[in-house]
Amino acid sequence: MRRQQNLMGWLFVLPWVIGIIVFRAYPIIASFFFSFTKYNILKPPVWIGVSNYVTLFTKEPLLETTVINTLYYALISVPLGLLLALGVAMLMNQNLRGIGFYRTIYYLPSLVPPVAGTLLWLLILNPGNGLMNSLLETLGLPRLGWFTSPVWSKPALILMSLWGIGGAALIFLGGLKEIPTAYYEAAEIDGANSLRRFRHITLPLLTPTIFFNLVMGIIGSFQVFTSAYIAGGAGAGGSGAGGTSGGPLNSMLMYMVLLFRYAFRYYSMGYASAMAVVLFLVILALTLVLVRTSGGWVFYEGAPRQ
Amino acid sequence: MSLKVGKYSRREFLMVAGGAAVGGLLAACAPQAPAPAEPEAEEPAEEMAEEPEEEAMEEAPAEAERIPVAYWSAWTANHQDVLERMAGVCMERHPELDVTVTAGGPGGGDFHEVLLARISAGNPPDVATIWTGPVSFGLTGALTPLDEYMSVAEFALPDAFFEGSLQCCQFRGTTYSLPHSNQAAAILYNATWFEEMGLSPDPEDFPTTWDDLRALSAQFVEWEDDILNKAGFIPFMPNEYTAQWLLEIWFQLNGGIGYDFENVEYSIDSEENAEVMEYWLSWMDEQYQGDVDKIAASGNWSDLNEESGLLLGQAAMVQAGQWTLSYEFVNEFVTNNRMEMAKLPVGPSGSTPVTGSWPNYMCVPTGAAEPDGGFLMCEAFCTYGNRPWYEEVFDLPSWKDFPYDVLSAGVLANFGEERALEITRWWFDVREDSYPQWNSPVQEFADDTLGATFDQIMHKVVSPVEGLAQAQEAIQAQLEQVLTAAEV
Repeated sequence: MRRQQNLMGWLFVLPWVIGIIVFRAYPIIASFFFSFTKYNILKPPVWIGVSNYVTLFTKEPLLETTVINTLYYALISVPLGLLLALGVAMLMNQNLRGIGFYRTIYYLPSLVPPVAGTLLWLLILNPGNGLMNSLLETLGLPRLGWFTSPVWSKPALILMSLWGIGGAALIFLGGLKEIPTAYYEAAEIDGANSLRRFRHITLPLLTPTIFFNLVMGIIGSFQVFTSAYIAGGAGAGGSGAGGTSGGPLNSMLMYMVLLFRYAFRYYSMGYASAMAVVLFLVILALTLVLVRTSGGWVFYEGAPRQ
Repeated sequence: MSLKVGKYSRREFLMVAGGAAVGGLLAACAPQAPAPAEPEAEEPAEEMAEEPEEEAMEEAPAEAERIPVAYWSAWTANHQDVLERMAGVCMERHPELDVTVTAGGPGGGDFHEVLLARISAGNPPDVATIWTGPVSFGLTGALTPLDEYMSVAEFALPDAFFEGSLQCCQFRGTTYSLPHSNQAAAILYNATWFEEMGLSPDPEDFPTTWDDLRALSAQFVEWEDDILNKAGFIPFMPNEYTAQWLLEIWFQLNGGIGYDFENVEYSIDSEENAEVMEYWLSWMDEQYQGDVDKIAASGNWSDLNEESGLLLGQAAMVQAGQWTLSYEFVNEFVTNNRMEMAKLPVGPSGSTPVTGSWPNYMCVPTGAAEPDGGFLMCEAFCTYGNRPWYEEVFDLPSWKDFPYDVLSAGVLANFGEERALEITRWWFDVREDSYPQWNSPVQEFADDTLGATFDQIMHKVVSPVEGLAQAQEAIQAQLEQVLTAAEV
């Protein structure tokens, strides 16, 4: 009976297992293999050992630029996104009439396809006649170049990323709903003001959700591609590379955009695979660091704090 | 809640449903069984066969005998209609072909990305229009060489095309695509505004040197604090056309060269090319506050599109390709203003007018199921079948025998018949000055590197000499690496 149950269990998960092997595990393993080859996708791969990695770390002129750009984007967009998402979630956690409507409209932008969203923001941030510059001008502030400016292009990308905080906000909202109201009632009776309640009740009990959103945010931000690809092609850039131009002074040339360039413009799949493996290892390392250190600041209800 | 679904328990129902889902998934992944062969028709009785047999010989090939040819175009779906008309012209001459047109490709990603994936998977279209360098694409093994086909072709013989156009598709004696069109660049200017400024509006009086053009440009420039309200001419904006197309032209206008396709080597860091960069920097400093970002933030100065400074009355002159003259958005401008054209002037170290080659290329991907049919489609599109396209979009034909008196509908609508004829003949003549481009084995790498370098130079991050030297080193090294790998 137990064996039959086990068999049925495996049968039920078989479609998912097949999918994850074919569409996840196989490409990852293949990419790892190709990273040690010279491969242009049309001819058989030729084994070259660690040559791609050596070239990447010693001869790639754009490595530093892409790493700096990606770190800039990640280090600002992730904390800012978390703060805003938490703020929005706390606002959405009110028992007000029509709160469902507000929850919907805050979440809707995260449903917009990334390409469509980027194109929309290109219009809003158009330096000539965009909505944002018109607003700045009305307020007596100077117009900005946004995607045409090497200084403002990354802030523009970060601004664009904040438009989609609805998803994280919804997860935070779920976390807030999990916190028993009894704690707040007890704190109120003891005379705690809202700031103290937030600091000593909300935050600690929300740490698992914060941890989840932080990890997902870091993974997503290090892999930023679509917005940089679309905006980088539309912004002023010297290259005719369309989406992979990297924007003015390569200010929007992210690591993933460079990877894409090597894969699909220069037909260097082996080198692009090496870049992908390196990115995977970096994100894995960061995630492991977060997990290892989470014991000191993530509080799971019922578990002793380490 | 009931634990039964009909006479089955929920557990049993879920087990059956899960098994059915797995079975369906596995069945969907199974290779398709070949279609059963159609039963052979019985031979008709002799006494009835005579007349029907004669009629059958005169009819077009039956559907089952026609050769299916799949055509993908990088042009998007709004050109589906004209592409199908061109395919129709091909099929009239070759009734044995059954061409299916997919404008914009099948989707699922960038056109060239998807094409590359299908070539590697072994199921590409039989013919495609590409917008990437045919030589760099062909050297990866993605394209079928066309020389053998061309040697016995009816129309697409090697000498049927302008030499420069065909050279864009060739590398060391191998032709990787046919040139559908060969766009040229020139200066478009607002002759009405010239007249208002007391300047001669006639093309004969237009500057033929950079110094004269620069002096003319200065007369139009107007700044309001940090906003550029009016510009004369700005040739040095970093944009999508600069690295791919315009830089080489301006190098050559100054007697230099970027990529020497005959010797397969780059000379980006030559004195003449550095002089071009220095000239542009001094021009920007003199007339445009030395700040390329301020110029970019103030408007669109370097191309002819809907937001072009020329059309909005902000720029007196822009450099653009001739195809822009057939666009509808030009109509309002030319209704109220006289638009004229002039060749790009020569630089201090140059002597010969030059223009470039902005392309559309027709190719037969490697592994095509019907490469013969694919080539016949290439031939049709690039020669006798090009007329429907040309009538819709003013793309300069690469075929020598394309008639001079056919007018593009957009140009006709914008300028009227007499003026449209003048414009057409003018651009057909400018085409003679085209320098072959797009034929480097590292086309895309060079474009990206040079574009980024140019961007750095105009932002004054690096000096022209230093920047061009870095670009030269990187691109030449990449070229040698690719040539070694491709064993050519």
